[in-house]
Amino acid sequence: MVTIRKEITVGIALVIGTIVMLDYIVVFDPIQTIAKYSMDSVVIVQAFAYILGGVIAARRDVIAVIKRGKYWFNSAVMLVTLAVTVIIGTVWGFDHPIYYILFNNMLQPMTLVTAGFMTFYMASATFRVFRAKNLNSSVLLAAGVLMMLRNAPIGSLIWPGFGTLGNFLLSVPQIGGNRGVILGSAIVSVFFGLRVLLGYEQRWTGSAD
Amino acid sequence: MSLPYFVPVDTPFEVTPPTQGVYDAVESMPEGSIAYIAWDFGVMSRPELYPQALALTRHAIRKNIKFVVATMYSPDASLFFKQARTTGDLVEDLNREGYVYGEDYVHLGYYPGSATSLTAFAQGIHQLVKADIDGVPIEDLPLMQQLHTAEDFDIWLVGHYSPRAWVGLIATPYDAKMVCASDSGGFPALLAYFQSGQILGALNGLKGAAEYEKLLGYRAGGTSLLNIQSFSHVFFISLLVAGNYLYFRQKTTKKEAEE
Repeated sequence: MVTIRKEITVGIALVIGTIVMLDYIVVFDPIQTIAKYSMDSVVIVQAFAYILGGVIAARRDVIAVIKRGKYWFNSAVMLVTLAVTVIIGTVWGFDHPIYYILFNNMLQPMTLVTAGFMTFYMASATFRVFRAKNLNSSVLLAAGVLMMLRNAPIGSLIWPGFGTLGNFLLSVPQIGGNRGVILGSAIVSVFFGLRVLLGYEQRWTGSAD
Repeated sequence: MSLPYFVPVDTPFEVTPPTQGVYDAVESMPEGSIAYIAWDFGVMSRPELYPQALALTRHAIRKNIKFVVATMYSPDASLFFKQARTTGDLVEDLNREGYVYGEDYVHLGYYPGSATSLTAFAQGIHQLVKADIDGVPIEDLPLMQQLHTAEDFDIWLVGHYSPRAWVGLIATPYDAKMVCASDSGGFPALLAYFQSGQILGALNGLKGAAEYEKLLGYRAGGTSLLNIQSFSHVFFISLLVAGNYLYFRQKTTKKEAEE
């Protein structure tokens, strides 16, 4: 049953993916219509994916609260916040002042604080890791310092050459390297897409193979 | 690092060619042109992208460019723009230039699906979008009657944490005029597109925002946060110096002990 379900999923991906891809190559009305319909449907499918994600998360937390596991209190907080946000959002809409209060005064500061915590890890890593141990790490260190000074106006105040050198690094070696990465990732994307369409890549179906 | 936030310290800076490219592209648009402005960033990238998106939108308003704002990647930005236009930073600009909602600008809100919804939007706006963010049918919005595909927009102003997809999905296939604003992490990739002429300009994180504010002649989030960034960079460089000094001292001490 699981195999059949997986084959159906891969089959749908193969048909839809091929049609959407053909739309770029062939001018044929039925293909264009199906491709457009498929792409418009993604918006609806993804909206349902959000609902599904919410339900799965809520189910996991309900079980954690019932079982009184190690961090059950965190799950309880998660359930309350989920319920409050969903109720206010669906009943009164996200124009409601309470929704804005939740968004502006809770979600935003908490997210930014979480991001701010990374500063401590970065500071610690900067102190411990970026050491001129060999040629490679010395080049990385020099390029990093140069780019930091180039990106902050204080760098040009210390020595105007930091800006010139930084601009050279960004405009010449960086662009050359980046173009290689862009081309490489584009080619990899094509082959990855083919693997998905042909069913060789099945991790997205939930399979471990 | 936070000192410049409390005690403003201005450090002079020059406008770089990618920022000048953005300014010139918007400046060259005739009155009444139509722009797509992407407010497409989440809370995490807000500090760098909000000042940029604000500056781009303000410039469009000053030039009397009609515009449509939509979000394809992160729902947060829809709320940022809604607040900015209803109670926040854009109210004064919109009122001063006499912008009328529906005729001069439209806010479509969030369309999940990232690259796919962007492609669908570009191919047929009316098939994908049925109403604006407040549920007003797009048939009732006069500006939307002029817009059917990506080709109907005169310029694309993209504020996104990694706008590479926009170049591949919009700028190149539709030969569209596009400028991009991204965080500092996404900027180096944009330079390749700027150098090849695929985009007309690019803003580099807070530095780009501050440079754009300078060109527009006002001082806001970009400029004040750039000073904080300056100090934080100096702080990190001092950590690098201290870390390397200790490393070499430790190495020398070990060598001396062995001898």
